[in-house]
Amino acid sequence: MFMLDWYAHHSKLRFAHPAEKASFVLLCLGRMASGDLEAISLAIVLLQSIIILFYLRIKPRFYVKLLLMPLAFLIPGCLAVALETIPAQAGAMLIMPLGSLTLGVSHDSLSLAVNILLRSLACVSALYFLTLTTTFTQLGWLLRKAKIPAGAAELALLTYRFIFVLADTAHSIYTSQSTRLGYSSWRNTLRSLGSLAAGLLIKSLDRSRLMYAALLSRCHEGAFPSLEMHYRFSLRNWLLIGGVAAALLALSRIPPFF
Amino acid sequence: MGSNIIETKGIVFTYADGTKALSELTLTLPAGKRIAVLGANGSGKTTLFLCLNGILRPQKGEIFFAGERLRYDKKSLHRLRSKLGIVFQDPEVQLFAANVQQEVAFGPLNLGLPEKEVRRRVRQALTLTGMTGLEEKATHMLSYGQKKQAAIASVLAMEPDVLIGDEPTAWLDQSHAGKVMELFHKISKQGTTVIISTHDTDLAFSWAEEIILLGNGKLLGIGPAEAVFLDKGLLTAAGLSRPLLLEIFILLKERGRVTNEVPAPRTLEALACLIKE
Repeated sequence: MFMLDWYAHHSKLRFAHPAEKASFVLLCLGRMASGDLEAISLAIVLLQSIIILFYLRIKPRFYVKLLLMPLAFLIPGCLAVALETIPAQAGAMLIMPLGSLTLGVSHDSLSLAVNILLRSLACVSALYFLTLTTTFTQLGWLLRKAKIPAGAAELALLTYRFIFVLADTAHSIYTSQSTRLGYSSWRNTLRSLGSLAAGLLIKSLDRSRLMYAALLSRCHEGAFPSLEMHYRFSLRNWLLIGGVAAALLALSRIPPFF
Repeated sequence: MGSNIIETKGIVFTYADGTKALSELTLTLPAGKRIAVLGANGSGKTTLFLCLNGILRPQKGEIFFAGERLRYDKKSLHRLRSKLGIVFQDPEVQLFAANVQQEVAFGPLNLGLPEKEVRRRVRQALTLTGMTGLEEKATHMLSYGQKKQAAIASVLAMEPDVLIGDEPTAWLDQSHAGKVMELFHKISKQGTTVIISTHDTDLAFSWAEEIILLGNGKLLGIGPAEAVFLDKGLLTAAGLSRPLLLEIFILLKERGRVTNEVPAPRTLEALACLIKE
């Protein structure tokens, strides 16, 4: 979470127009929503990975870790899709008798599982591209331009800021406990963690009270207005996005893998 | 009343848990001066500021701002807060926006100013606080000193008539603390009334023109810096010690090393000049 934020603030594309980044990502997501060709999913995964690794220069280890997070859910899910109960006599690629039932992987179920896996990965990698290049301020701008209700966008903003405040507070409580041997044994660890959680709650309440006072003293009256940001469009970026769109269209002509 | 920007008459504030933070506090703050509110921890400095800003409402007593009695309806509070800004002690509680520019723009935007004017004020506040170039920086990525500067800028951008700094040098290293006090001096020269709270008598003596001495929510002393600091009894009652510079000056005077007529020096350089003579 913190590394993602750090990369976004130091990314080569951090000053690029947020609408360009969002269009690129929406193009990929939209293509995934409208079609189920494995070749296209694979192409998007590869394209995003190449951009992320070679253009944005994200450390490969970190990118693999990022992909492993959704994969931890995706792989068991897709396995469950691939395996299905089938009548014993039906033609299947893999058959496993299990009591009165027969589990197996059929051509159709495998094709569906692979399809889901690739489509999900394509969407995830496209969203990682957005996360790794777009700071929260720009996301907020996008939310406002997308006419998301102001309340929701403001809530997201405050949540974002408070995650860091909370993490800082938790870290300082943890440090202060550690220096007094708070985590020296299993027993102490449990007790310290408990008081850390309690302390965090109390401190957060206290802090939110103070923060509200600070907001009030700057004439806060319920809304969180933000300064309009002016970004510049880049012809190069739009040409690239157009190129990707054209390539994705061309790929639609490739026959399915299965 | 003309020269006093703020007056309080017998204000009493007790917190919900029974802590009596201010008791019968009556004081006047002259306009355009550099004022230090001095007091030990828990003497009521912060509570006083929150009352002045209308965040807390005293249970008893009255507060006057620019001769007008404080009213607590939305419109009056908006007007008051647009003229009296507080920089909180911990910048962490003040900063809420994702980046510096948005943070500093928050106050001016709340004032309903046009975008162009907001931008001008943001730029000016960031220049004054030495934060130019950090506009797009995320607030959580700033150093503590920078957070403090951003918090000050966010209040300066509202161009208040009265700027209050609650312990503005707390947890800052000497270089950052020096910069903050220099900045407050500069702002004061532009005609803004600047009020700080501190328990650092050396700092208060070198910077402030007027001193307000608080102890246990009561007014212990008020007046020009020299007069207040010469009264050792007052300082002891407030749980504070006399500024070192003044102690040395008094010692020199007792030993006949300086003439009796000169006013007490406020800086080390001024003291050095006296000794040479």
